[in-house]
Amino acid sequence: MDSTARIMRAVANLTRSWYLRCGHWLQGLPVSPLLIAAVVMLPVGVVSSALLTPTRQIWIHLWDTLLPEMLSNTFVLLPGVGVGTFLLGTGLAWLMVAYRFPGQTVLNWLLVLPMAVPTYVLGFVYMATFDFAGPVQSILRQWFGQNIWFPEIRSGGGAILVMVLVLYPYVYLLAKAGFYEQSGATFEEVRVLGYSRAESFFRIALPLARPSIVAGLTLAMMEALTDFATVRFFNFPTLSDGVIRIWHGMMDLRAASELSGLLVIFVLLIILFGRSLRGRSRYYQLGGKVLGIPPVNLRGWKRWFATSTCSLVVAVAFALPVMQLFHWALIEITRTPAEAISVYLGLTFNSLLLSVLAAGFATAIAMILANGVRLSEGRVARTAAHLATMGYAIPGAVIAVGILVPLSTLDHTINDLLQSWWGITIGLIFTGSVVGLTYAYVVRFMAVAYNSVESSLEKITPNITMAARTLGASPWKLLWRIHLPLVGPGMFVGASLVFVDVMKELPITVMLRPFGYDTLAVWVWQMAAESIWAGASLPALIIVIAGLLPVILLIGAATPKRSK
Amino acid sequence: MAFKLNRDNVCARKAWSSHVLLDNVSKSFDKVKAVSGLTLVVEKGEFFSLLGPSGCGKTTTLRLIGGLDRPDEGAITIGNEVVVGEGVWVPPEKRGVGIVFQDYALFPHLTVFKNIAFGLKGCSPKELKQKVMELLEMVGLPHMAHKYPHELSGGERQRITLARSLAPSPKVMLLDEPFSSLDADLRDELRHETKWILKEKGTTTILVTHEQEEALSLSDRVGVLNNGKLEQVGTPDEIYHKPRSRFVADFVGKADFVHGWIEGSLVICDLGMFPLNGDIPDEVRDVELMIRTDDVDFTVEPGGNTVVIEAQFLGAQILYKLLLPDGKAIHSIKPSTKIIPVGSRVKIKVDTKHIVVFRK
Ligand SMILES: Nc1ncnc2c1ncn2[C@@H]1O[C@H](COP(=O)(O)OP(=O)(O)O)[C@@H](O)[C@H]1O
Ligand SMILES: [Mg+2]
Repeated sequence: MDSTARIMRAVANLTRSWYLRCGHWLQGLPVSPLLIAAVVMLPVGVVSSALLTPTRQIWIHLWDTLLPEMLSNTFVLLPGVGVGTFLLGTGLAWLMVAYRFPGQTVLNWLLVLPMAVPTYVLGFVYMATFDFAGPVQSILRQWFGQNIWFPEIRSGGGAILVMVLVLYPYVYLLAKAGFYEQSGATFEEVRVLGYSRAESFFRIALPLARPSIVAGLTLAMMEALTDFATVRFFNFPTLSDGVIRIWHGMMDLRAASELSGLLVIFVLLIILFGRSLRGRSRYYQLGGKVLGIPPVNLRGWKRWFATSTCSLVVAVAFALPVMQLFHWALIEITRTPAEAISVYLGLTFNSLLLSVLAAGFATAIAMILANGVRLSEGRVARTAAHLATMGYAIPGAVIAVGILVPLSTLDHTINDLLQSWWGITIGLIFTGSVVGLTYAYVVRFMAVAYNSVESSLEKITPNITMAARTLGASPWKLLWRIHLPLVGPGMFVGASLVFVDVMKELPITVMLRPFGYDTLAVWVWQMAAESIWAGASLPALIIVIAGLLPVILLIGAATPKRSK
Repeated sequence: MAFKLNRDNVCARKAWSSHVLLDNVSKSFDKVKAVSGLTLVVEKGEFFSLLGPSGCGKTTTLRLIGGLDRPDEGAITIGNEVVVGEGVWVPPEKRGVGIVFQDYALFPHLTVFKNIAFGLKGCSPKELKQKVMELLEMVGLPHMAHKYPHELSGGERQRITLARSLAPSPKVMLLDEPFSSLDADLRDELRHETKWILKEKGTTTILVTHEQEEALSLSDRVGVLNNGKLEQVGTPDEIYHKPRSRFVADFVGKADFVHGWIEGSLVICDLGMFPLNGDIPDEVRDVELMIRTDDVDFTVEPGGNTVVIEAQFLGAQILYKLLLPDGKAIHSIKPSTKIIPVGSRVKIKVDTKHIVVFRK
């Protein structure tokens, strides 16, 4: 009895001293953030190293076939989308902030709705509507004869138009925030100095909002870079499309990863573009109340011009396309036999499953990351968090390739080992499985989850925890009554944002899905590629409706309240 | 010259009246010694202040007492129970200690009512309501029960925090600069309100502050901390008039220091000769004299050898700067009922009762 106790104590002491020594050794090294950053950065590392060790034949072959066209298209698409979203987003934002006109409050948030529509959905709706066989050209031919000229929708211009209509809200929201944050006093001072309102816009408001606007532009361009479906619909293949074509067409992982490396260079270019435009100065006006630029009432025809411009944008980017989808969906539902509807149930189930899995993992990992950063409060941990949330900038196709390489190596190693030991083959476990898909989604959408979780974690100051403890709270009570209620909403918001993003995500799903595993997004893509519009419409509509959820959340969060 | 209690002495006192006892407590963060060798006795029902400049280890000391940090060495006793030290560790939730933090730390997602009710255990809903309302009455905010912390002003938050930490009827209350973020008017009012609430309840209180005025006006006794070490413990009067070290003399109150030397039982300086009270070792000859501004008085005399060179109006009083014949300056504070113009020739009188001598 006595000796048992003594042994127990010795063991306890030994563990304690070991723990203390290791604790000391690891002290200052934020283990979990570093680990998460390493796992998340692995795919990017894989493709980057592939680019650094290029294979000659691959590049010669690429150069002889796809590469020149894809390169020039990418070089056209990015500036096109940049300029388009800048003009539309900044113009609308200025209209909202600096003027008063009828219907403004409603239009203010209606203008954000196009964000809910994935580019490939708007893409196929436009293609169906404006194509040679589509209703618009048919009617024009009826009225004006067979030889009527119409711009070719399947072109770079068409692709850029569609992307601008879907992506301008990024710039719109951030530009609006940038304009709102400005002090009205500065703006009025410039006017007192003798400048007109328009001149003050170019001299003061626009330069001050520049960092926000550039941030919005960067996001829009990254979205344009990750897209492959729209550009394929419009016969305007870019690098993302190239990666997927190489993988699907030739199953050549090496070539796909080297081309992905080239895409990473484009990402860096966008980031550099953002940095250089944002400039060195940080335009924050500190102190004082932010009163905002004083809005003026528009008069006469200008009132209605403003209202109708905004309405037109909402109509062409959201209302009309969604109505068209409804129309097709109704046709599809009425003519589909009841048992065939189960196809759609299956698709929805698959999408939900992936979205829930990814949302759960991303949020949980984001929580661990945020906690690690908080506990260590060091530079290393913060850098690790930055790296771990880099995925939002990396095109989906790149992440997919970067995950395929290590996973297939792992699979082949396992198979070789099993083969040589026991002579059995179990096939590929990780490649083309839900594991790989979830991994890729988590990498791509970590930033979304992390930002929500981190901002809510900020509400728990260390003293709040301590206050609860000195008031006699047990660990359980602390968790249930203080920590979860404070972080819960943030975690929920983060999880639902990831949920919707995964639902919309196409490149990763197309590349990594298990064989024959169709989701809503994949179905839309496949049907639209075959020009079966009605078949694509129902899943597209479900995606758009799900996509409205975060947009509504965003509207709530991004509408600054004007102080009275 | 640090204050030191020997252990037997401490234990003897502990037996009859001590309530919080720190015995040779130390705590370091990396290389920084936040608290070193702190020994301190706070008596039951006492209002005790820890006074010291920012970064001297005040918050750390409170956190050690509250159980939010563990000391590297030493022991802490609350009531008759050792809470840390000698292999014992009592977690914060079992110590019966209330803490009011510098940043209040109200629970942002709970109403005022639920914040206060958080620490009340095992009550029926009716009792709970009654107790919370009593506490709200006590801090003078009975109508605030259903507001959220972000809807309160700074002063209201402070009161609610006090009510929340008083709810479980703690034996010991720790206050970490609770008034520092309030504006001057409100601060004065709340200081005294808080003190009387705690006194009435008979709660042993340790207040931490870097404002000497606050410590001196509220406390039964004050401990002055410097660099994690206790420089002196005493009543406000002792701290102010009989500082044990140059640091305390400098930090508490306004004073001038003049050079002097010892001749037998006298101290001699430019201002005259004073009887030496206190114990200065024989070999010490060069000393420094601390003279409080309120111990220096002067009268206008056309032939005086001292000149008024500056007068700073402080409201009820005026602070004068006087130029001595040897070119040194000294300060004097007088009621502002009579204003003596700058440039007047005056004669100085120093009240020798409170002069304190330090070895150089
Ligand atoms: N958690 C901590 N980690 C590292 N150093 C700390 C920590 N807490 C306090 N310190 C250091 O200990 C010293 C005393 O701090 P503190 O007790 O907060 O001072 P005060 O409350 O008197 O301003 C300071 O030098 C501070 O930097
Ligand atoms: Mg402090």
